[in-house]
Amino acid sequence: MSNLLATLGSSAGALQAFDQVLQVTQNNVANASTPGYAKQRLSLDAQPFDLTVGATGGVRAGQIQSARDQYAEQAVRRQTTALGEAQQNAGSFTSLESLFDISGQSGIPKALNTLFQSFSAWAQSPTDTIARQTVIDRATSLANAFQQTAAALAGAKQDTEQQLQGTVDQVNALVARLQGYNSQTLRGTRNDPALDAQVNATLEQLSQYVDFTARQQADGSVTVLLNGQTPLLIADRQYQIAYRLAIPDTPTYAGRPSAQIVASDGSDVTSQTTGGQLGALLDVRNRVLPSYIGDAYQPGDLNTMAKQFAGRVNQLLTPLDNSSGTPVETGVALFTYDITNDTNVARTLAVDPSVAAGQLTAADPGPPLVSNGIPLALSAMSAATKGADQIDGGSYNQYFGKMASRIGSALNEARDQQQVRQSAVAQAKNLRQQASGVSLDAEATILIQFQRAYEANSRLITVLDQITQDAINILRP
Amino acid sequence: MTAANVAEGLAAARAEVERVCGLLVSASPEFLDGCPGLLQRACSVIGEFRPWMSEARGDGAAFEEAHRLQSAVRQAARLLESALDYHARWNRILGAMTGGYTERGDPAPVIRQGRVYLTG
Repeated sequence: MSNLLATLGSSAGALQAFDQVLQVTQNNVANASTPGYAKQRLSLDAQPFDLTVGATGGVRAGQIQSARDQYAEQAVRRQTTALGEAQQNAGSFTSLESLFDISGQSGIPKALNTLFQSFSAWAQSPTDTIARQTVIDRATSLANAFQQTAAALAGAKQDTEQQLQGTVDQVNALVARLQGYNSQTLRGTRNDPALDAQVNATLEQLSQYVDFTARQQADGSVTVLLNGQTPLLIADRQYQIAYRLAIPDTPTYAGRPSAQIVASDGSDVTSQTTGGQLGALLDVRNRVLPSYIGDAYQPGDLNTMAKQFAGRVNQLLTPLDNSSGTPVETGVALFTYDITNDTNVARTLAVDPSVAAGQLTAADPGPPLVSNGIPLALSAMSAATKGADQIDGGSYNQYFGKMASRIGSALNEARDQQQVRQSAVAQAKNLRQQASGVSLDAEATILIQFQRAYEANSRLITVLDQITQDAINILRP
Repeated sequence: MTAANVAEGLAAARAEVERVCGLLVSASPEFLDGCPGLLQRACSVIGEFRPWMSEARGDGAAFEEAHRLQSAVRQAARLLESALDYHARWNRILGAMTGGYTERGDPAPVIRQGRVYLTG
């Protein structure tokens, strides 16, 4: 009789266990479209079976275990971080590219070409006042083009700084939300699938902004570390990051300050802040833009070009007359700029308003004296055959072209990356879906299948890449 | 064979590679097994008009199409790489979870006993 009761008890236990399984399944179905929700599964534990000691076997419900594969979650977040970076780069470089028109129809290239044309026209009529006035007008246009480009780049810098502040605020707000979830968990709301879904959805949102690692602790709370090092969240305590501008202690140039990300203890964690939108914005603000408009360590290519061009034109317009034995400077310099700050040349480049057309000297005193020697030398700057007319080993147009192509290549790369990363995020989400609920045995088999498939595909892709490259080489115009 | 035929052929090869990209986004073993056939077909399509390709030298449309094909091939390569990276990392974690670490500190290899696994 006791055995019968025990058997009935065992059956009832099993029924209860299966009832819980049904509840878990029902919950999974109800949450099928909840963002961040992961399928739950109930583990069933076998009970000892030994009738001699009254152990009737059967099954009982074990602890509900999340089927969420933390690894797969992390893989999705990693790809989302890379996508966030690519999207930010594509956006930033698109707005910068518009400042570097290399078609010659606008901006600095157009102004440079028309100025060179005015030098040639002046060389043909060295005494013509109109030709000299045209030179002054075209020089003014070029100075304005430099100023406008420098101002637009400074505007892009300000936009980037605002975006940096906004992104830091967004990161802090998302971590604050996670802090709230951790507090709920620590108060005892563990194994709540809705809370788990919210935590994972928030972590996924956070991953587009920064690269971080998230680890679930034994107490159920989630620890978040910026790039695996700087704490953002531990248990129910948030460590806010901040954004600031800072000038180094020993600047080489009186340039703009750098953007910094600061941890809650005041330490500079900029170098650790890579990846995601925040990493991309920092790169644009601290590396890309300074390479054009300078910072504390470099004058910037736009300033270098403006200074060298203006300096060379001024030098040619003020030749030394050695005929009397004592060198005498003749002519007048055309351009003015801030000579105290190399990072401020393009923004301050202007034509000296006191210079009148009649003051421009066309004659090169030599010896021998050449009546149109100055405009001829100015005109020859476009061909850049002399070392003194060159910048970085080429012409001024080529130098500007290099600046533009840097942005163009970066934009192409960012767009390519954006496309690939979008697919990679979709792929990671699919892999996460596949991993959910798969047993280790099944997974071991799948991994072997994958290995075989990778080898076969990789060989074919290598061959295809090679023949495509051959095709490009043959078809190249 | 005209330059237009070459451009069409390259576009056909690209269509196959783009289908591969679509399969790689799913990255299940079944889908991955479907990729080699498509990739081989792309290689064959290019192989068919390869002897006449030099006749289309300098043709802008064909050249652009070749670049688009290259871009698709590189996207497929990156997707394959990222799926491989995913499984390689997971394999290492599985190794560490099931076999611990080797003397050199690397995750132990995953021990797979000979077994038949059936799904249905």
